[in-house]
Amino acid sequence: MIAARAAAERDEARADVCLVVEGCYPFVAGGVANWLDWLMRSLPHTRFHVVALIADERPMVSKYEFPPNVVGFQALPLARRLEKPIGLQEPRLEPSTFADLATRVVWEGDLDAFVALDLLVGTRGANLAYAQLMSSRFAWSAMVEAYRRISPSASFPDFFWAWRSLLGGLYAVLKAPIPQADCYHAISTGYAGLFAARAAVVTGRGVAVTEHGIYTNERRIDLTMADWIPDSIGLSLTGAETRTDLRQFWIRGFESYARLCYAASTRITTLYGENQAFQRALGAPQEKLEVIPNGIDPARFAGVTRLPDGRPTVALIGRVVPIKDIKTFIAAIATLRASVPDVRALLLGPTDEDPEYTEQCVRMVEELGLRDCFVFTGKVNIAQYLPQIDVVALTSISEAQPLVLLEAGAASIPCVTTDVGSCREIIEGLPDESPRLGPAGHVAPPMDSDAIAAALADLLLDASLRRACGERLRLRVERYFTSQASASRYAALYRRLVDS
Amino acid sequence: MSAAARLSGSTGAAVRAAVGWRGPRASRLAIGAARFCIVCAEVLIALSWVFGTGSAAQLFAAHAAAASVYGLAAAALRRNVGGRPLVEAAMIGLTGPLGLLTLVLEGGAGGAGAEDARLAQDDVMDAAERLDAAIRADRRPQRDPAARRSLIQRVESGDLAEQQRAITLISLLYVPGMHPALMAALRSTTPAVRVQAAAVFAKLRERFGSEARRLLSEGPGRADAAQADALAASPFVDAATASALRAIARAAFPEPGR
Repeated sequence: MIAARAAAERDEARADVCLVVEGCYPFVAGGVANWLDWLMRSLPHTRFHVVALIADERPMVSKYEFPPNVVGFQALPLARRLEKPIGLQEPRLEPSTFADLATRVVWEGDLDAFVALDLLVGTRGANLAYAQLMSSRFAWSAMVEAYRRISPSASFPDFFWAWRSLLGGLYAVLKAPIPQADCYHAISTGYAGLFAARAAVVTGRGVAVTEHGIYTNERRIDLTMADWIPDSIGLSLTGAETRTDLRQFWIRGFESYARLCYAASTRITTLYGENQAFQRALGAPQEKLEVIPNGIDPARFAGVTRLPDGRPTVALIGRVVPIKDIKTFIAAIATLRASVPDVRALLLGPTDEDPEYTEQCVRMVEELGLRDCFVFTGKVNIAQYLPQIDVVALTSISEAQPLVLLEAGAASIPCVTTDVGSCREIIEGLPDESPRLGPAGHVAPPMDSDAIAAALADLLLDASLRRACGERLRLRVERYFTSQASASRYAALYRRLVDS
Repeated sequence: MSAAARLSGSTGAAVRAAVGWRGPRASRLAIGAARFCIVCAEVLIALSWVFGTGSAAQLFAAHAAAASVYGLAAAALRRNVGGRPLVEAAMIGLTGPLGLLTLVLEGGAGGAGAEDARLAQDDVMDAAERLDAAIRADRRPQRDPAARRSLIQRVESGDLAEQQRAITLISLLYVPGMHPALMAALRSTTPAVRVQAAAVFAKLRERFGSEARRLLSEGPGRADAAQADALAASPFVDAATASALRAIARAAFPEPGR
C-alpha cells in the first residue's frame, strides 16, 4: 500500500518533458524566456520540469510565475563556490588519462570521451568531489597536461582560468542530478546542451535541442571582440596560424560542447532554415534537423487600420541596445528626410537596458538635427501605436526570428529589415512557400543606413506598394507563423521523442 | 621563462589584481604591520630590561605574549603570505630580541621585500626582454609567405572557418586598409559572416566615434590634428563629424597662402 502510494507520488512528480535552459528563464525576462513561458502555457496537459543553468550560486529572483503544469524546478549553478576541505583526498586516477578524456571533450567534442568522463567523475562512477576536480594536485597535473596538448605557446595563467571556467561548468553538469522525465529538451547548446546530452546518455530517453539563435555563433562573436581575453601569441595577417591561443581555445570549447549535444540528441530544431548551415557545420546530421518557426496569435492584431493623420511614420520596435543597431536606424532617418521631408520616426521600446548607448543615440538624434521628427517612446503598448505606423523597420545586426515582424505583418504593416536571422524568410517567403506570395517589404544589408533609407523611401512614397506588401505579410503570417501551429509542432516533437 | 612572460595581458593583470593585490597584498600589509608592532614591543622589553623597570618574569611573560600574538597573526595569514612569518615567530620566541635583530637584518638584505621587488622588476621589462621572452615562448607572429592571401580573398572565397578568422583579425588589428574586406564580409551571403562582420563594424564605429567626440571636445589647437585628419577619412564617422574633424586638422596645418 505504502509502496503503491510512493510509486503514485513518484509518477505525479515525474515530468513529461524536462526543459533545460541556460541564462534565461525564469530569472531573465524577455526573448527566449518569454517563449518558454508561452510554450509551457500552450501545452497545458504536458507536465514540465525546468532545469535552469545559472552562472553562479548567488541568489536570483524569478521573473515569472510558473504555470500549473510545471511539476519541478532545479537551478544549477555552473561556477560553484570552491572550498578546499582540510585533508582533501587525491583521486586514485591517472592525471594523464583524465587529461586525455577532458581534452577530447573540450577540444574535440568526442561523445565517447564524454560518456567515459561521466563514468569517471559523475554520480554513477567515482563521484569525485568538486574540490577534487578543481583544487587537488591531481586536477593541477591534468590541467598542465591539457595545456601542453592544447595551447603550449599561450599564456599559462590565462589558460588556467579558461580551463577552470570551461571545465568547471562541465563538472557542474556531470555532477548534477537528472530529473526523471519522459524526454528532455535543451533550449540551446552550451552547458544546457551538455546537460541534455548527459540525460540522453544516462537515461536513454529521447532528447531534442532547439536553437533560437546559434549559441556557438553568438559566443564566437562575443569572444572575437572580448577585451578580457589577451592574445599572447603574436597575430600575423597570413592566416596561417597553427598555434592555439586562448581566444581560439574558448571558441573551440563551445563548438565542442555543441558537437557533443548534436551527437547525443534525437532531434535538432531551429526557428529558420539558415541556422541549419551552422548546425551542419558542427556535425549535426541532416536526418535529425527540423525547422519549427515561432508564431503569434494574429487575432490580437487583426483589424488594425491606419489612422488618417497623414504624416508618414516609420517605427522601430525594440530595445535601445547595440545589437539592434539603433544608430543605423537614426542615420537612415537622417538620410530619408531628403526624400520624405515630413517623415516621423518612432522608437518603441525600453531605453533603460543600456543607458550609455541610449544617451549616445539621443545625442546622435540631436547632432543630426532630428529632434523634431524622432521620438523615443520608451516601453509602450505596441498595439496602441500600430495604427500610426506606415512601415516597421528593423536594423538589428543579429536576430533569430523577430516576433515584431510577425506582429507588424498581422497588422498588415510592411517591413524593412536587415538581412539577419530569419528576416529574409519572413519578408520574401520560406523556400517552400506555395503559392509564392511575393515580397512583403525590403531586406537590406546590416549597417547600411543608405540602403535602409532607400528601402523606407520606396515604401513610404508608394501607397499601393505599401498596401500590397502589408497584405502579403498578413497572409504569410496567418499561413505559416501562428502560435497555434508552432505549439502543435512542439507537441508532435515530444511525442516523437517519447516514441524514440 | 619569466613570470611576466607567462602572466601576460589583461587577464594576467586581472589575476594579479584579484589574487596578488587584494588577498595576498592585504595580508602582506597586515603581516608588515604585525612585524612593526613586535619590533616596537621587543624594543620596549629590551629598554625595560636595560633600565630595570620590570622583573625578569614580567619581561619573559611580555616577550612570550608578543611572540605568541605575532605567531597567531602569522598562522592566520599563512595562506596568503606563506610559512615564513611562522618561522619568524618561532625564532623570536626562542631567541628574543637577538632573533628579531637577525630577522630585521636578513629582511633588509632582500628577504621580505624581495618578491615585491622582483614583481615590480617584471612589470618594467624592456622591449628587448619582452621580445626575447616572446621568441622563447614561441609567441612571435608566424610569417609563411606561401600561405599568404589577402584578407579580402579570404573573406570572399575562404571556407566558413577562414572567413571567421579573417573577421577576427580585422577586429583585433584594424587598419584602414582592411575596410574593403570588412565591407565584403558585410555583403557576404553567409549569415554567420554577415553577423560577425556587423558586430565588428559596430565595435569599430563605437571606438572611432568616441575618439572623434574626444577630439572635437578638445577643439582646434589642442586636439591632435593628424589624428583628427585620419579619423575624418575613416568610414566610421558621419559626414558632419568628418567635416568638424577636418576643420580641426586645417586649423593646425593651414593651407599655404591662406
